[in-house]
Parts: sequence; structure tokens; C-alpha cells
Amino acid sequence: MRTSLNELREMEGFLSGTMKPGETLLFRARLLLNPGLRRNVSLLRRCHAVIRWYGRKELKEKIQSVHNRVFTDPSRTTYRSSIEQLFHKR
Amino acid sequence: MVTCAEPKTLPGTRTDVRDLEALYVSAFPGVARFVSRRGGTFQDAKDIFQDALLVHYEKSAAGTHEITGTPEAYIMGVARHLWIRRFNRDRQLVPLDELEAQFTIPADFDTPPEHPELLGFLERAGKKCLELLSSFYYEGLGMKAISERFGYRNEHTATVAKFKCMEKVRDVIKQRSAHYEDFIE
Repeated sequence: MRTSLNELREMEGFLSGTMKPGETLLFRARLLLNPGLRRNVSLLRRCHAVIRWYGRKELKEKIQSVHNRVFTDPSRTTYRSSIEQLFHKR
Repeated sequence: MVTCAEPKTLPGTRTDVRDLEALYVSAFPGVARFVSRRGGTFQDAKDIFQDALLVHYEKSAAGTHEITGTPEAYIMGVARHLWIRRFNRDRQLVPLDELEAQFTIPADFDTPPEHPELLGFLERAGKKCLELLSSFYYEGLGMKAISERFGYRNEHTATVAKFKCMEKVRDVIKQRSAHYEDFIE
């Protein structure tokens, strides 16, 4: 069954630690009693992990494109050769 | 269906390309010298530096930065930590514990995703939603910044869109999880 937006909001509050202490205690008790809720929280944790991986992958690509620009920009020839020299000495 | 406007890179956000390029230019030489003196290659220096830069940005986003000096010095510390971890060298010169205490690496940093193909599937099914969610969960932007970046009228509309996007992503992951027996506990 599709979990409602309200339940999603509640689970987000629990996982992010923004839920009030009394509500957190109650939520923990519901987790113990309700296997469906446990599965939904577990699924949401995995969603967070996948989203973080997506963000990291995008940032890695952005960093690589900055590298490509720095190491091909004609105005950075001196900079580039000073670094490349470090590895040519050996 | 939830749609999002094309994201714009805002000045001052942590992935602003101009900030990234300036930091790349100022911090890379130090790491390159370090790696070169220890017998590493240009590729080693590039890999270590890019990962250290990533850690720096992730810590800034999460608000868990241990930074006490300049960003360049922080990136250098993380790079040394990564160098020792990956190449198992210089342990006798710099105790790893000391580096670990000062320049911690995120726990999931070297852990590959459980199901890499899932990410590709999600990108094809809802890249815009992934971008919106990533700006919140990975970049650590607030709802005000997100509503401006994605062109929502206000924070409330952006928050509703975020929840709908999470529902969509979750439903896709749940559907696909039928392929992975271990996926749901």
C-alpha cells in the first residue's frame, strides 16, 4: 500500500532527528510493534543513501570538468607545467 | 507528476563552479608536491586531491567541518589521510590515528552503492526529482535556496514537491527491489 505523504513526513522527521523527544519515543514504540512501518523506514534510509550517491557522483563529474578546464586553459600554461614538472623529475 | 525547472548554479552555494575552480587552482599544487615526493604519479595526485576536495565540500554541506585553518590546509590534511589509507605508506612518519581524529573521512566514502544499476534506472526515470532531492540531502541547501534554484513560488511549494519527489523515488526503488531479494529487510 502507498504510504501517505504525512507518514513520509513523519519518518523524515524521525530519521533527521528533528522530531520532538516525546514523539520520537512514541515513534520508536510504533516501530517495535509495526513491521510495515519498520520496512518503510528501512526503505527510506536506502532512498537517502541512493540520493547521496547521486549527489556525490554529480559533484565528482563537476570536479573532473574543472580539472579538464584548468589543465587545458591556455592562460594556465605556467601553472600546468609547474605541476607536471613535479612528476617528470624522476 | 512533479516537474522542476532547470537548476541554476547560485553564487555562494557549495558547488558553485567558480569557487570550485579557484580552490582547485590554489590547493592542487600542495597535494601534487606531497604525492610526488612520496613517489606517486600525477594520476595518484589527481585522484587523491579530487577525493579530498569532495570530502571538504561534503563536510561544509553537512556543517560538520573540523576546519580550523584555510580550506587548502584542510584539503592537504585529508589528502595525507587518504594517501596513507590507500597506499599504506608513511605510517611510521604520521600516526594514522592523529590524522583520523583531525581529518575524518565519511564512513560511506569508499563503499560502492549496493546496486549501482538502480541509480542509472532512477536517473532515467526521474532525474529532475533526483536533482531536487540531492540539493537537500547531499548539498544541504535549505528550502528557501531550493525554491529559488528550482523556480518554486515559495518554500511551502518546494517542500511539497520534495515530498512528492521522495515518494516517486521510493516507489521506483520499491518496485525495482523485487529484483534484489536482500533489498527490503
